[in-house]
Amino acid sequence: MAQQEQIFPPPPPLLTDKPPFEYQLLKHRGIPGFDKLEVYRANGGYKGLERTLSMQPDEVVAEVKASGLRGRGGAGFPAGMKWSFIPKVSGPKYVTCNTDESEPGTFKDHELIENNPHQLIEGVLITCYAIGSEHGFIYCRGEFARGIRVLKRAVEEARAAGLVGKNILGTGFNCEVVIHSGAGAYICGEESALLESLEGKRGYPRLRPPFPAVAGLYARPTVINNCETLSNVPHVMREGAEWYSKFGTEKTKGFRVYCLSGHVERPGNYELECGTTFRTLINELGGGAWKGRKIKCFIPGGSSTPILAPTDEVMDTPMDFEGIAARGSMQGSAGVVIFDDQTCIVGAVLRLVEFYKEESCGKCTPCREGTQWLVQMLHRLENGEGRPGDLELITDVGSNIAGKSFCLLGDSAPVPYNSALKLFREEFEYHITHKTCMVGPRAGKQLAGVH
Amino acid sequence: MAEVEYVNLSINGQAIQGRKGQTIWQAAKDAGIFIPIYCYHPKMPPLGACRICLVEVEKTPKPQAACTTAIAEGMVVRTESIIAEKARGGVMEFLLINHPLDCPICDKGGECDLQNYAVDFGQSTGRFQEEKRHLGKALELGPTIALDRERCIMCQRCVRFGSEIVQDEGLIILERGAESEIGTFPGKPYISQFSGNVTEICPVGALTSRTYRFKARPWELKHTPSVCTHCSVGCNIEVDTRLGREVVRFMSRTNDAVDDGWLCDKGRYGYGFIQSEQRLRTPLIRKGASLVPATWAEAFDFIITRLNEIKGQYGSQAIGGIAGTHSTNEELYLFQKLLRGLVGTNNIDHKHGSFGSVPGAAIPAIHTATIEGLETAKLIVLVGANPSARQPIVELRIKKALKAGAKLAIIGPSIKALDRFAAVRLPVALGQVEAALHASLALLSKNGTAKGLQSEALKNSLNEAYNSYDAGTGLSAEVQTLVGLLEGAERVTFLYDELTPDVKGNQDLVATLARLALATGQLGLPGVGIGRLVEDNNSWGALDMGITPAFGPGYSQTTAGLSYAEMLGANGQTPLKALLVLGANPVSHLQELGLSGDAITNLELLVVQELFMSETAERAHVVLPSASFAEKDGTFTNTEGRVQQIAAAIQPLQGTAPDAAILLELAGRLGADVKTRNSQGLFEEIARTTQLYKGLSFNNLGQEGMLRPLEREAQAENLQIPDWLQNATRPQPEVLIGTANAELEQALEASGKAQS
Amino acid sequence: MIEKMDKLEIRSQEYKLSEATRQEIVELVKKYPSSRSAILPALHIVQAQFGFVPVEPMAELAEMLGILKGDVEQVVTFYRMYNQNPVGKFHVKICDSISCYLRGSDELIQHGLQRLGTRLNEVSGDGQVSISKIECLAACGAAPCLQVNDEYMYNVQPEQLDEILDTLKTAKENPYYIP
Repeated sequence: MAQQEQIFPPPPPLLTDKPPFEYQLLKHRGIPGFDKLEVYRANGGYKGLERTLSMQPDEVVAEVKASGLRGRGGAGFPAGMKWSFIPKVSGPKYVTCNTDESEPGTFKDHELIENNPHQLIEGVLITCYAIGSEHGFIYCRGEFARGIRVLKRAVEEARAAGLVGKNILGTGFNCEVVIHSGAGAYICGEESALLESLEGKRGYPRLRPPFPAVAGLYARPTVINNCETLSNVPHVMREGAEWYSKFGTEKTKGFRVYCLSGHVERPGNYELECGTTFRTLINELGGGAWKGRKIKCFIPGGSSTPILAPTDEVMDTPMDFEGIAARGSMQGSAGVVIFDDQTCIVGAVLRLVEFYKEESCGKCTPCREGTQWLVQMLHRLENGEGRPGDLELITDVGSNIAGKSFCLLGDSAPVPYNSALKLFREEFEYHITHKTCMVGPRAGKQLAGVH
Repeated sequence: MAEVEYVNLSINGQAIQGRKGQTIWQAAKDAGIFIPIYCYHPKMPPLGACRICLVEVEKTPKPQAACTTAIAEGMVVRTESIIAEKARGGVMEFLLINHPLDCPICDKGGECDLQNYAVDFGQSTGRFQEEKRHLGKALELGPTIALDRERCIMCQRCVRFGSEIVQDEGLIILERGAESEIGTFPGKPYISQFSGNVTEICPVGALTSRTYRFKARPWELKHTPSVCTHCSVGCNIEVDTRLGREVVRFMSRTNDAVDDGWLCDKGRYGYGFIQSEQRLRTPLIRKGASLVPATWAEAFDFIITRLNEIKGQYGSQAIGGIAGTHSTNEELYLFQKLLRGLVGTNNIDHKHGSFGSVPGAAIPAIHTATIEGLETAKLIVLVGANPSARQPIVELRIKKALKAGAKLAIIGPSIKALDRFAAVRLPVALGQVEAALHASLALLSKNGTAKGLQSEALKNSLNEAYNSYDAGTGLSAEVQTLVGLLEGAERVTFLYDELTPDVKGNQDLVATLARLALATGQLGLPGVGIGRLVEDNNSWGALDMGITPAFGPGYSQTTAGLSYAEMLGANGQTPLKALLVLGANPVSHLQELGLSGDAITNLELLVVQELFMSETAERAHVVLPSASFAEKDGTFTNTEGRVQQIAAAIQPLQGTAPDAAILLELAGRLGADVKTRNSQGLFEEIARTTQLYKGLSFNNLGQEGMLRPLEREAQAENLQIPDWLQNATRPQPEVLIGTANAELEQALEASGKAQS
Repeated sequence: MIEKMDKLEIRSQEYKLSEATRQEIVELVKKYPSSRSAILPALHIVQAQFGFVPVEPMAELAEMLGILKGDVEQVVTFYRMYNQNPVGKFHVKICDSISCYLRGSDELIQHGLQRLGTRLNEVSGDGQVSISKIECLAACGAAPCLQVNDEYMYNVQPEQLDEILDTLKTAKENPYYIP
């Protein structure tokens, strides 16, 4: 395939000549050159915007509400309801699109912006219209260098066609779309920290109240939505809420992109109807554990969600907010990470918790001090220097971080350990008593003093 | 008065009534319940970062930070429950795991919030058995501050002091997460005239004063409430002396009305002079070319003998007195009482800025602006004033007002720290400041809509003075902007510097400013209106106590006498034979006044009361060693007319005596029946005899001082325009020339002519 | 007794923003309602000119945006993408978050360092390449992945890494740049 027809990141191979779910968000996979305006438009692109501009803003909000579209970044807050919180005041309002995708295991927004930029732009324009904003900011993590280039080109294409800027499609609606780059901070995916970053400051989360809907960017009413959420909006507005709400489950409507990675045969992004089961995604489509191994456990929704064991009950759980919550975990960002039975769970937990320590912004004491303490203890544990009492101590330190921090980053840090301990306590204890791994390539080896 | 809305809640089972809008922490504090804090500071917005203030709030899933959570009706808060203690104890543990065991060598030990709260809320054993964080220690952050990064608990107070209060380059946070540390812009030391404040707000020993390093332990210190004497703001300080003997530091003593809890470095670190080796420690009498030590008795005998001789030979008009502006009100009052009452002369003065055509009686009444009042002003106008350089704490208060939405206008030369905050600048040279006021009055008069112009009388009076005033196009756009702001602002504070009216071109600046205040309806408004930024810590005291030939104490009528310049030989005369100098240094100002010094040479008796061997003391016949402000009590009147007490922190240094005691001794030997020997009694006499200080006493001055009660003149409502405002002459139009021209500077720089 | 603050030699040498960089920043600032918002993308432009963020340009940038110098430094040291010191002409950043870790990132990193002959974060002798670790690059389905100066490479096995390092040894431009 020619370079411009390649999809980045590379998608998983198709098992049959048709995808498991008819592409909506990932339509670019079937059609080369989808990042170009004329190709996008030839395939229903900007029809959602056209219909939107013929409606009243309040009607647009109502439609999105009725569709049942929920946030795709992790929290799952109903998008239309979020938009309805914007007060009817004069003065500037803003839409910010959170494309700071940094949650380990998640890579859907990456594909969306590098290959389907107009879908997102259209979503941002519709959202701006709905809340009365003339400024949409797409905050992309700085590492998405190519995605930012692709988005910027797409904005200029749209501008040239009268879809961005003044008097859009001759309706008098003005809207600027700014593609903004972050610079390497997971915390800036937290909505209030994103606003701080967009204002040009260090990405420390903000006190709430006031909430962004009332005082967000530059202290003005602001809507913040995830990239995938806004990418759904053109489809909702093009086909209507009734159509959209036919997909999905009772409380989780629509379709979404599930990110499958780790020890599977066929990792990659999979667009599926909300409520598809784990078994379908992981085993049928993903091919199950790689190299003929078994699944030890998996993360269902990005590294901040509790680890699950692959019991039948779990595997047959529909992947939606309520279903996964019932299993004691969370839908999160739909980043599904598979661990095979040769994985030392202690090493994996160490790696997971190290992420939070690296990304801690340092504002609040529990997260700043607590995560580096957790990492030091887990490091000893993994490297044959565990001491009796460590497991209880790590649990207690974790309990002094969760619920005591300023934001959810601190709350998430102890989650991998707590959920892994529940499932694999024996393996943790083995590290203390035997000073080596129970499973995996380092099992039985001398570890202490080697590092 | 606005209705206060109350909120009922319960803390630890106690029914509390808080005010709507308060946080749990504030309501608890008011009720006497203590919740520890680190990142929270009452003068900065809440942050919620440190988490030490976590408390249990019923019906919430997680503990809440008391410093950020607003109280609500029916809220049930527990600070001592298991949940609250675990949360707080957990945070305490986290703060200690990387904290170095530096207490034995840390200056903060003994007054450290980490120590104190660890004892109150922490465990007695540590569970952390990993590698502690290692960072730079004992770093020279700048000329005044030392930084120990390991001790830092990242409360961000120092950084927010820079960003919220000073709003200028200051301390910053570098790196992120567990690697966060405090620092400055690379290569730039921490240089700020407010740097010392960070050592007070730092809860631990991360930021310490270099001058105080290893000097004392807090439990050895005696704390004496006093007032800083380095400028006219009169920030409230605490003089800390080690074992009551040696002054080792000044600390802030928060007075919300004056300093808001901040000190500038000049004041904070300016205590070295008290114990300086250069202090005069014995009376000196001239024998030929040199001054030789003498006893007090010898010195007094000499003075009295010579004074009586001179009075007999030349008359009392050949005797004069010059006082300084650092002495207390009591000393100044005594000084003029001695000269007027006992010696019989009205040749009394001190160096001060001119008031032009403003009569003495009107002086206190037209100056109503206060420092705290700046926060109520919607517009602040600096009229030839540079508080950043001369009254630094006022700069902080102005910035506080601006942050709350007030606007700033600057008339006069560039002020580096404030220029970028100004909504409008009339960047004229100092000599054109009055001309700028005239231009503004002319436009105000033409527009006719300003608040004060609702009075027909004033409208006509102004019209008559300015109807043919045409200053051409100099800075006309800026004048227009300024006038627009003046017309629209509900409350305006005008601050002018005491010395600006002395600059050629500003001969009647104060009267013109009064006219402007009158026209905008601000004259006499308590808290705002006109404020005079005076030179020294008791410049107002010198005027209030009548150290002038024009009026007596309380601006009362008096017989005329020679002025400062006349006593020193202006008008070509050298009229005095004897001159008493109290804490002043007129010889150092001779050149500036264009005088030859013959008047000094002509003196047969020059008596100088001083701390150090000044130029004037060097020429004296008798030098009497004074005690510094830290060695006596009394009162000062600050730049807003607030009378504040000082108290002696140490005994007068051996060989010195407080000026009041010296003057009382002289008075006794001149035949006075001295009844009152202490400052309190003297102050009571001042309060009794002057309308200006009526009702004040050491009791009601208390720890925070009081504004002197003023009678209002020329209120905007019942407009009786005083004669002296009415009869001002028509001003000559003058084209305003902008001196700080940004485009010109850029052009010069571009052509390589300017120095960077 | 008290020591001087850490000297920053490299960051303090003479570096000036080029006219092209200045122009780009001026155009960038126009897009935002508040000029301060432009700082993150502006610093990327500065880093594009020098390969890292020296000290003088930070002061210049502060002036251009009308903000305090300290605010620029606070931002530069908070966000990991900004190099405070020079890195290799090609900075190879290998992800080692959970999904890449599970698919062999540790071994990949060790292999790369051995092949290059440097320690982690160290610049090769010829100044061409340095290898660092980086947290999740959001390409987990194509793990292990890495970036060469912000351009992605997917499904990188040790053999591919060998190829990459060999290519970068003599490359003048980033060979993995796709517009």
